Amino acid sequence: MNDLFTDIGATGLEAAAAQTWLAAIIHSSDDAIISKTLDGIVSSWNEGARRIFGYHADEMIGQHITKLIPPDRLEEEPAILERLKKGERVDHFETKRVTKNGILLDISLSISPIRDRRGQIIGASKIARNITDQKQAERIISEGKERFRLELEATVQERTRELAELNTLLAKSNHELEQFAYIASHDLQEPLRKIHVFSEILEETISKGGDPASMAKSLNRIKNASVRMSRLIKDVLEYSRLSRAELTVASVDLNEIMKEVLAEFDLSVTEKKALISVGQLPVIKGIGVQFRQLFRNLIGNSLKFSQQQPCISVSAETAGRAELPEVLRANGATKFFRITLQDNGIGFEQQHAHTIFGIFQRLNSQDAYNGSGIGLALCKKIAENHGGAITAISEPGKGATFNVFLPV
Amino acid sequence: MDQPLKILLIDDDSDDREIFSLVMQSIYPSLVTDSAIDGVEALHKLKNDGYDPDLIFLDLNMPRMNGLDCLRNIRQIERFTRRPVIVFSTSSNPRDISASHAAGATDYIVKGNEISTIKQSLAQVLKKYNPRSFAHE
Repeated sequence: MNDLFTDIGATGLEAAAAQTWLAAIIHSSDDAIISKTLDGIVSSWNEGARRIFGYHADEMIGQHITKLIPPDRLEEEPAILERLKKGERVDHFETKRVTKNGILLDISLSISPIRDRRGQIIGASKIARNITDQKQAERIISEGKERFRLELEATVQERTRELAELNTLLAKSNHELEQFAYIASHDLQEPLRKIHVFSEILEETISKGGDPASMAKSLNRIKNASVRMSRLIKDVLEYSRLSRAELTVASVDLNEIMKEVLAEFDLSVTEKKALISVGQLPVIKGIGVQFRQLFRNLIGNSLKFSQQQPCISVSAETAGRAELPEVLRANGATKFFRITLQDNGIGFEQQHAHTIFGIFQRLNSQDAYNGSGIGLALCKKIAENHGGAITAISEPGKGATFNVFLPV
Repeated sequence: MDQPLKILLIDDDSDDREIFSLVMQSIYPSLVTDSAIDGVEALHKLKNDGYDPDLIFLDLNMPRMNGLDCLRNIRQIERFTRRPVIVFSTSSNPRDISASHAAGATDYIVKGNEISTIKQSLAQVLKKYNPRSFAHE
């Protein structure tokens, strides 16, 4: 084992010179180098200790080391002494100590037993490093990391939620598209089949000599079928256009819209001697073109599905929460207008009140009343585009009432 | 001489009624084809004691009364309980086929896109369910 003098290669030096040198090393250290007895009494106190703890050597030598220990850590001292007596070291033990001014410092302690020439433990040598700044820096970094982690987590959560919402919308849109494509292609098959079959019938008629009357009949059927197809395709386009929110929202005076729509039906109104009364309608924020389409379809239907002189009345009121259809009650907006259109037409069975709003749903045969069955589906889409809804009440032969709910 | 076969077609589509009648004529020129534009008109005719079609063809998607309800009602009329009623529809959906059989349909044919297909399926049905070829019950 080395002795102190081996450390400084002082084999040849005088004891006094060697000791002075060793003392100087201790004195000049930046760290606090403190020695104490096995009872915890401070027996040496270097300049580093003074600088860190504020006490001069004469204030600490002979004092108990616990002078430096904060009250909540006093149990550390007996624990340290226990280990020292066993000959164990304490290595870089991070703790807190208190200065002369009462300031709490973060300290890293390394304590080792001091042995005499016989190897007996006679005291302890303590090196205390002030790691307050280091600890503070660590705390700042760690807080920064934590803040960053929380922000990142929040951002990720937010993005995930947005993505999930988007996915739901996309799935819904895809589903609608699939349904729509299925129904549209299915409904287009009907006129196409007619065109094909009547073309074949026409071919056969020609091959058999070509009776003009039957040829004319076949051609007429082919023509009618192609008209149906083109109307269907036009309606399909119209419906798909509604889904795109590219049109500008503005304050729309529904009274003006109604006037324009009624003007479009002038001829039909005169022919059928229809009586139409319109009450005061509100001004609403929305897409004028779509409102016009909605009224056009409703008025058009009322005029078309009539067997007597059509009587149509249109009115508007604010709707109380209890009067709202189920689908709107969950809505955040609480105030709605209810625009009511009532006619005296052929009506329908109330059990069909939902299905009539389906795409290409018709309750009557093509022969009785023509139409692709998309009118009410468009009305529903328009109402929904504006955060509203449309409902229908009717009885066969007793006319129909359509209620359009639009947010105020 | 056998009386000509009497057929009733129940279909709301005037094009399909026309096609049916033309094809039937080309298979059996002596056929008598009558039609009803929906289930309500059909039942009105069928409830009349003197009215007695040998074969009934029935569309599924009709206004006022759908095909299956009409079928069930036809089966309630005593003399038509076992009469051949053939569903003649554009739908090839297996669900519609099994529902039709469950409601009492004798057979089910899909309306083809070509005259030749329509002619073939109708001819087969006529051969199969022609009461003249059955022993009288």
